[in-house]
Amino acid sequence: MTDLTLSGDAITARDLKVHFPVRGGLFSRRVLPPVRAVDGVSFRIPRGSCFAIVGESGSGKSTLARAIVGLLRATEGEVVMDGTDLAALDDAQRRQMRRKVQLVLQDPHASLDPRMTVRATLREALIVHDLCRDRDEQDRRIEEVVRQVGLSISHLDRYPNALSGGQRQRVAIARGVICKPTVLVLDEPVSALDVSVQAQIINLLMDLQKALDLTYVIITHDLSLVGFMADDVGVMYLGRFVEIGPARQVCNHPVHPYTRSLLAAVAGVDPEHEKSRPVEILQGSVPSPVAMPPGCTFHTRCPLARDLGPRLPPGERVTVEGSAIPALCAAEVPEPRQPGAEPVAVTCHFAGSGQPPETAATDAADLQDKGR
Amino acid sequence: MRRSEPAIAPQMQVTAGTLPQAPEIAPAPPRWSQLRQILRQPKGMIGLALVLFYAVIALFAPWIATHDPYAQSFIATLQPPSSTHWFGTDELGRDVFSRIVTGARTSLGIGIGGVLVAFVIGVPLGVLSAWRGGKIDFLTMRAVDVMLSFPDIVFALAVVAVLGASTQNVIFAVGLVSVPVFARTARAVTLSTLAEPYIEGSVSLGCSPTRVVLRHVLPNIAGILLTLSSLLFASTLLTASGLGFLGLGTQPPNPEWGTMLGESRSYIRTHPHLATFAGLFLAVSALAFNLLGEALRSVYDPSAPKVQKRGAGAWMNGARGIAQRLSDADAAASAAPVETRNLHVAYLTEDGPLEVVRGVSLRIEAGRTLAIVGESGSGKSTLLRAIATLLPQGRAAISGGSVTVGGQQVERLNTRQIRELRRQKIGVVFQDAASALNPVLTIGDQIGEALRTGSSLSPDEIRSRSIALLEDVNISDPEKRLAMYPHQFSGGMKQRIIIAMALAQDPQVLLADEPTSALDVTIQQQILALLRDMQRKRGMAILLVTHDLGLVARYADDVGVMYAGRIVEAGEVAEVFRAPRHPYTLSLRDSAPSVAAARGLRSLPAIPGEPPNIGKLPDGCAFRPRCGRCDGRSLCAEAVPELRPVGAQTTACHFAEETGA
Repeated sequence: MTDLTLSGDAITARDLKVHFPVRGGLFSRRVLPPVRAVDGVSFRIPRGSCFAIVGESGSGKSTLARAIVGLLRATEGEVVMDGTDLAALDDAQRRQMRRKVQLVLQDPHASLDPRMTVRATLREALIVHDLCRDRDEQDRRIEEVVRQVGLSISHLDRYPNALSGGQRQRVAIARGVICKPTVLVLDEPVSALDVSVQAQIINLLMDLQKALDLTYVIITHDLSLVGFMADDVGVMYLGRFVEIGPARQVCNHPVHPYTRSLLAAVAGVDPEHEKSRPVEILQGSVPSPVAMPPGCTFHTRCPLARDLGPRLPPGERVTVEGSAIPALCAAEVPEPRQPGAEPVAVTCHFAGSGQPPETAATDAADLQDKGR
Repeated sequence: MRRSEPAIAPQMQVTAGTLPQAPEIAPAPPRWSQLRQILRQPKGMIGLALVLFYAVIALFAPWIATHDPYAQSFIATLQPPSSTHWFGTDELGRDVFSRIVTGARTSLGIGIGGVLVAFVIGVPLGVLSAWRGGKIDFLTMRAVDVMLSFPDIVFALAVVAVLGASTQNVIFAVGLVSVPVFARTARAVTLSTLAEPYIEGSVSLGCSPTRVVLRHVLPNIAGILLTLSSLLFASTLLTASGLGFLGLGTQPPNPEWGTMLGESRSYIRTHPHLATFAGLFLAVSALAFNLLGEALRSVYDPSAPKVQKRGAGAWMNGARGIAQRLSDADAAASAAPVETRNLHVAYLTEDGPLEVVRGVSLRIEAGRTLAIVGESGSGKSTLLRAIATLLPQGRAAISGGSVTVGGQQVERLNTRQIRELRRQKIGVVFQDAASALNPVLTIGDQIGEALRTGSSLSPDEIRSRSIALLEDVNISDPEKRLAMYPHQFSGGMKQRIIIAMALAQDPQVLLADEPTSALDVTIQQQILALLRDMQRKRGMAILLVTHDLGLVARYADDVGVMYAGRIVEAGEVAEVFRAPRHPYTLSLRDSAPSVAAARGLRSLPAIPGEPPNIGKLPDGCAFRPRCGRCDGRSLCAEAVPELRPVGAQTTACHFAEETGA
């Protein structure tokens, strides 16, 4: 291991962009504006920590995950892993690199080859990366990993259709860790599982992280999971982070209006509290990344802008979809800034500057506090 | 219901989201089960038997043949079938039976060889063009299109004409003709396989493209290609025979069925036996491979209807009889919009009926929401479908107890009355909004249809009511939206439209099966808030099936927790969630990450073990193997706990009173 790997960061991304070209016309000649799935994100993930990427469908979180794993190439910017820039590698080196970064997919029913036994699935990883000298060594490693993920040797010769959802996800995790990666990217690791099994898998993941000194990148829409598992979190909206910082801080004291709305949507299991608290439901849905709104991309749905707009003098506001919002929101792309003492970067012109009423924030904080 | 149900009913085939979850059946190991699946179908059995018959003839021809197939005898030309010459003799006095038997090898060889040629050229082409895409794909597919635009026989003729007439060239020609079919099919199935997450999984593992294709793509498309091969075998054989008939195939004196058919054409009027036997063998061999191909297809293609054990229909009718008798005894009509009494619902599986709902009694009052919470296999979706009168026919039926909707006992109604009931009193919203709308009809057409059924509204009235419905579900610009197609709407909007359609006939009951599970969190809230508003306006009873306890806490009045086909705890949401008495409810509530995070735990209190396999439940309490409270006490294994009042709710646990703080 070189010094670089010890320098603290497992992954750093600088101004990462992943755009998909769109072609139209009869002979695919006309080049349309690209889909800007990931549009300039920067972050660093310290070794052994857990970074969560949160967002709704269409936010670009899955594209970002695939760029980190190296399944997609960055259009611009760079992803540096253990000191190596992924863009500088050719295809074969990339496949080598993949040993260090493994992806665990959401749906264990679909992510395992139905025609391979558990043993064959796990052996493949070892063969591909040429990690064991002979079959006996492979078998030893397979059995070791299977026990690590809480399965028994008797599961090894079964096909995926003879396993339950939880067991399949354990196999998927075993495949992820068998070639001793340093980073595990978990794409919605529990959302396809039964509620009673989710907790088992989350516990397993947390135990493995400690035991194997893994760095996690979790892609999820579930903020309650983030509060429990993650050290840092980035909230994505239309390809950018709108809020990024320590998970505890972001979940307990969200600043960006989008983060607040997401947190407000998380329902606790206390019926009295849930039925009595006013929930501000975010209207509309995520706009298409092909036709991104100008200025701040969130201004078409932003409750904060709708709150501030009417109080501004007519010259400083514009009307968007029937509501008055600050002209700044629709005109200028906000830059990330740090509104408080905590290392949280928020991409919003107004949030956290003390002007808006703190209803949503107190609400969400209230939810957390009440739970305690 | 008529008693003459077809003996062969389609087997239960469950697609996620559209049908209730299948009760888990222990699957057989893949290899032998496929042969068994083929043999279980009549066409598979006949096809396989015939193919074996032909294989035997081809392999043992020299021993089967009664005469030398080449020996000419000018004394006995053109004789009709007799005891010495079973199929008669031809114009040169050769024994037709021996010639047909001997010709089997060449004829079948051409068929197999042709398919092999097509397979070897076509499949790599198809896989390559699917894998690489772009220019390669474009060029290959256009070339294939050009080839497809010629009739098979003409194309083969041209090839043989260029290469010269011989058996090898015929094989090559008929093979080349089938290349486009293989290439196209291979490309299509490769594309769909490449879209599977496990392919992405292996790519991210670091597999090279070659490995992905060889290890993951090919095995998964092999079944379909095998099926295609056996189907194409027949057409290859026929094309080859066509060439033989035209004199371009196997050259005399070698016997081959198509050539024999060609030679016999001069004698077709005077000596029809010559054409008959060669033709018969040819036709039956084509049929044999076709039957086998069809059987293979239904084994490999999950969407093809599958065979069911005999007696399925009889069992279904029997189950209905039981339900009828029970409900006769329990005739009191209910005033509540929905009531079930000791409801049992069973699926018909290969191993006989399997009860997935095992005695559920519930009642929803007008204006209230009952949430049914449970995990996969708990029977919650099946319960909802039984109430919605939407159990998949011939595959599941109410096997006991009764369902009453809007005061009408469902089991007593005939098909027409059930349709009326569904239309007037029941609205249903399923999870997958995208597949619930017809993509080729406008929203206006589809809402209009929901309004029109069974009513006599004028087109103008329908339009104005459609607009009102869309306004009700908060869709802006309803006039414009009516002319739009489903793909122009987002997932959340589609679900709103589904709700509008469900509400079209002003139902008393709205049944919602995981209505928001496929949607984003912020959209979830929009939809559930909408349902709640609709309920307040119209006073409907709502049955909400979900696995999300947070949504239950926020939007439901009452809750029933289901485990292994039974309700294990029920009551008002406030009471049940505040103080769960059943260990399952308690663990479910406490294993949510938000609760654990709030309590500052570093590890979640998880429920050990796996969700129950409804076919293999333990004796006594079904939750026993996962229960932390049971602690090996014998009562749990001996008696099934009944629901009984404990505190403010009802709970099915022998030791419900032991609940700690």
